[in-house]
Order: sequence, then C-alpha cells, then structure tokens
Amino acid sequence: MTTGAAYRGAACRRLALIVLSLAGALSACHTAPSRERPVTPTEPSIPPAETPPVATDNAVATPTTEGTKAEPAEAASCTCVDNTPKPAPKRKPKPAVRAPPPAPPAVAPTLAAPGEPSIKLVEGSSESILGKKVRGQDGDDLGRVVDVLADQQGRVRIAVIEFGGFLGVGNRRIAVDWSLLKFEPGGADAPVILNASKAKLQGTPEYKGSARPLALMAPAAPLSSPPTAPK
Amino acid sequence: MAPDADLLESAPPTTPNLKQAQATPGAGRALDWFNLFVANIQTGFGPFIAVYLASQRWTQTSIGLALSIGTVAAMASQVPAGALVDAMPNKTRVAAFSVLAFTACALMFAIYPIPLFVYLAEVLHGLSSCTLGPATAAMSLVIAGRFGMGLRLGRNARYAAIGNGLGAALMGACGQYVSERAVFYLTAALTLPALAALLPLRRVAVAAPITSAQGTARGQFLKVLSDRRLLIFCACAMLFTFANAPMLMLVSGNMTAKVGNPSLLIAACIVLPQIIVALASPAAGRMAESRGRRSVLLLGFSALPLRALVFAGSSNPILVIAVQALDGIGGACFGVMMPLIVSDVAGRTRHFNLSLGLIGFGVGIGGTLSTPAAGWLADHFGIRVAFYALSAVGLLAVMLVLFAMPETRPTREAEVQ
Repeated sequence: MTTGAAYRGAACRRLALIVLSLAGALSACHTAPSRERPVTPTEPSIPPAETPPVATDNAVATPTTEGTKAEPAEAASCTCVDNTPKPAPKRKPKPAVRAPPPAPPAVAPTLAAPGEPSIKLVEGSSESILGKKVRGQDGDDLGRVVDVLADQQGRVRIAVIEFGGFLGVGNRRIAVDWSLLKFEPGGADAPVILNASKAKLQGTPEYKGSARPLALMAPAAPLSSPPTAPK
Repeated sequence: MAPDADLLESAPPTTPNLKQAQATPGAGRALDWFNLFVANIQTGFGPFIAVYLASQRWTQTSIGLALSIGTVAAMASQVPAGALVDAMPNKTRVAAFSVLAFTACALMFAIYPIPLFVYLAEVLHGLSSCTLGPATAAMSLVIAGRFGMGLRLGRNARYAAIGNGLGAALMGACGQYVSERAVFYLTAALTLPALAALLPLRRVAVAAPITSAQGTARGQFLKVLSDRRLLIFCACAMLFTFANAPMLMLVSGNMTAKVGNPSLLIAACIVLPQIIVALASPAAGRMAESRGRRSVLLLGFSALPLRALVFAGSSNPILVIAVQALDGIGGACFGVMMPLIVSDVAGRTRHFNLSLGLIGFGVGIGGTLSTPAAGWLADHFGIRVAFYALSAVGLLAVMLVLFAMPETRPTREAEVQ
C-alpha cells in the first residue's frame, strides 16, 4: 500500500515517509530499551521481539507473577539505563530511623488482582489531584497542584505546585515531596494542606520539567526517594 | 522620501476627513469607550488562561499546547487579517464581528473548557485580535483624519491603558474572590458595552472611504511593503518588543521567589505602568505632532535599556516597582507611534491595515521568541545576565532608531493645514 501511495504524488510520498518514519520511531522505542536491558543481567543482544517479558523480570527482580505484566515492565524498561548509575551517589540522606511516617497513599497496588484483572469497588473515597488548591497549615493560599510525578516503580513521589503570580504573570512551579501533603476529607473542593512555610516554598528552585528536579522534601524522608535530593 | 511624495500626489484629499472629524464629536467619545472596553476584555485572555485551565484539571502538556495554538494563530493571521480588513469597506462592522468573536471565545472558555473548544477559542481569539487592532486604527484614521491622528492615537492609548489597568484589577479580584471561571463570564459580559460603544460609530466609518489612492493594486502593494521606513520601523518594533516582553515575566517571577506577598506587588507592576501610559499617551501624541516621531520613539525606547540595567542591579521591590513604572513611558510612546508611523507611511493607500499587520507580525515574533530566550538565559546564566542581554537588545533598538529610522511626520501637509 505504501508503494502505491508513493507513486501517486509528492504529498502521498511525504505521507508515506511520515508513516514509515513514525513506524520506525515506534519500533525503535520498543526495541531500544529491550536491547539494553539484557546487557545488565546476563545475556547481551537477543532478538528483541521475544525478550521483553524475560528481560524485565530479570531487571526488576520482582515476583514473576503473570498478572503484573505490562505496566511494571514498561515503567522499569523506560529508565532502566538511567537507574543504575545515578542514584548511587545521591543516596546519602537515608536515615530510615522513623517508624511512623505518614504513609503516602498507595494507589495502584491494592487494585492488582492475582490472576485476572477484575472490577471491584475502590476502598475508601478517592479524588482527583490535578487542579486541587493547596493551603498552608495556617490557611495561606499556596497555589494549586498542577502535576504529579511518579518514580520508576510507579509510586507517586512529587507533587508539582504552582503558586504566586497575578493573573498568570509571575507564577512559579516547584516540586514538593508527596508526603508533605495532607489530604483531608471534604470532597473534590477541599484543599490539600501543605506542611511547609511559604518561605520554604520560595526558597525551592523552580521546577522546569526536569526528570531529576530539586524538590522540597519532608524532614525525615520516610522512603528516601532516590531521584530527589533535599536542597 | 520618494514613496511618500508619490502617495501625496495620488491621494491629496484629506480635508473631507477633517470635516468629518469636526462633524462627529460624539464619534471620538464612542471610540474612547470602545478602546477602554476592548482592553478590559483582552486582560482575561492573557496568561491567565493557563491558571484557569490548571484549575480545570488540565495537564501541563495540554495547557502548553493550547497556548501555543493561540500564539501560532495570532502570528499567522497578522498579515492576512490586515489584508482582510483592507478589503472590507466597513471597518466598524469588522470591529463588531471581532468583539462578537471575543464573546464566543469567553463563553467557550467559561462553559465548556474541553480541549476542542479551548483550541477553537484560542484560534478564534488570535484571529479576531488581529482584525480588531487594524480595524480600530482604521476607524481612528477616519474619525480624526491624518493630521489629527497623533492626538487621536494618544487618546486611544490612554483609554486602552485605563481599560487594561481596570481590567487587571477587576479580573484579578474576580479570580481571587469569586472563581477563575467567573473571570470569563465577566469577560463575556464586558463585550456588550464594547458593542454598544460601536453603535454611534457605525455610520461614520461607512461614510468616509479611507482610500482615495488609485493605480494598480499590486504595484502599490509592493511599493508599500518594500517601503524602507516601514521595514526599518518593523525591525525597531521587533527589537523593542524582544527586549520589553520578557521583562515583566522575569521581574515578577523573581518577586514570587523573593518577597512575602508577591501577588499584590506583581499587580502593582502590571497596573502602575498602565496608569503612566494613560497619563503620558496624549502627551506622546502631541509631541509626535510638534517634535516629530523620531524624538518620541527615542524617548520611549531609551527608557527600556535603563530599566533592564536597574533590574539587573537590584531586586528591591520598591525600586523595581518604581522602575517598572518607566515601562509606562515606553508603552505610551510605542503604543502611539506604532499606528501613527504606519499611518504616516501607508495611511492613504489601500494597505494601511496590511502594513499594520506586518508590524504586528514583527512585534509578535519579537515577543514570542524573546520570552523563552530570556528564560533560557536566566536559567543557565542567572537572571542578571538575562537582564543585561535584554538591555543590550533594547540599546540596539535605540541605535536603530537613532541612525536608521527616518522621520515620517507629514511636513508638507502641516503647512497646508
């Protein structure tokens, strides 16, 4: 079909090219990580199409149940290369003394069924995070949650908060440790309480969409997130 | 100077316009109100859209896409919209349709903030902004005539500045104390008085044909667009906007990072220059008629590099706000000179609006490129370097005016008058 289109004219040819290059890019996306993955565990360079399930199981070293196939494998594969070298030097602040840290609300794991996915009622109530207003403990308006960042295991780590400015001029986005946020009952319109002062927010460097942002972290990091360092 | 002489010979009758201006005193008032309400309306469509969409649970990616669509639409339609306005005999009708388009945009934002409507509204807003500006300038030219244009544009800028300042205060309060959505309902409501202000103007613009130039359209079209004065001014305008546009963003971002109550101070940074513009614009218009365009341009442009240097040197909020008020001087001079110089150069051809569109395009490029460029500089080399760079670009604009920009004030007509 693509050859037929190519004969028809310049436009068709360009379209075909785009389709082809898109297909190429897509296949590159899929194959590139799967090729790199085997390098770390055992065997290098295996035909890409068949390896992914095996390779990811090795790389992540998690329970090899059949039920958790697509998403963990995908998440791990994307940043597998990135994962190995970088966290090592930045991992110094890891006290892990505290026993009762405010457990970050786990979202996905509870839903995972052992065998097949099934439809169930979600425990407790849940609400949308994007666009939620953020308030300080003393009721200060600290802006809104505009983005949520997860780590390579899919755990929610960082809330991106936009604050300040006037009519959209001079806004500032910063990354904040998820465990600094306190969710209170009250439905979709209830604000999130941020356990930090305004001055601290102002001191935090602006979040610019980097994969490894500087973020405002909780004082004694409960799980000490590797991708962010306390400022 | 040669093209100007050509145009003068081919298009002498300015006296009917003058008579018309005297015959319709109410038209001037109506245009004042129209400028005020339009500026009010436009306040809601600025960067505030990003805040609103974030409150509507839009992701950052989609918000970025929506804003880019708006920018591209506005840039792409500058020149075609100018040509379109040239082709339409009734400029008041063009203005009315543009305002109605704003009503539709505001309602789409307020009622259905889903991607399809938001993107549509962004495109529509970009397009109708590009038709509205030239249409307003064309109406001004009809009402005031070529001699009265400087004064008329000074008044336009004054009332637009009042509208901007009031709009920012009104919408800021509305967003803070009512809701983000209410801002767009307010915007939609404000289009009604804008339309009402056009009512007394509806016959004026029809009655007086702007163009009396004859000759082949294409030849004159090329002549106007290759006019050296227009091109040099376009470059000046582009450099000025390039240096000016990111200034507020950098200053206010810095304030949010450093001071206790940024919103109020940023509001001051926005509103205060508008007050200065409102006060200074008529004087800029008068000065343009008495001392010439170049001196007004020089005055307005030189404020810019100075401002950037002060910002580079200090972040003391009081000083910053005081110096930001200087933006009002630049804003007044530039806001009045842009349509005035274009009207000098192309006011009696059929391509007044097209020429305005060309300058608008240059300004758009300057504004669009400079914000990310300045942001990049600030990220990598610090905000001080960004201000130094902006100051240098501003100085370049001053140099260009000083050494390349010719005077465009129509001297011979002044004698006739």
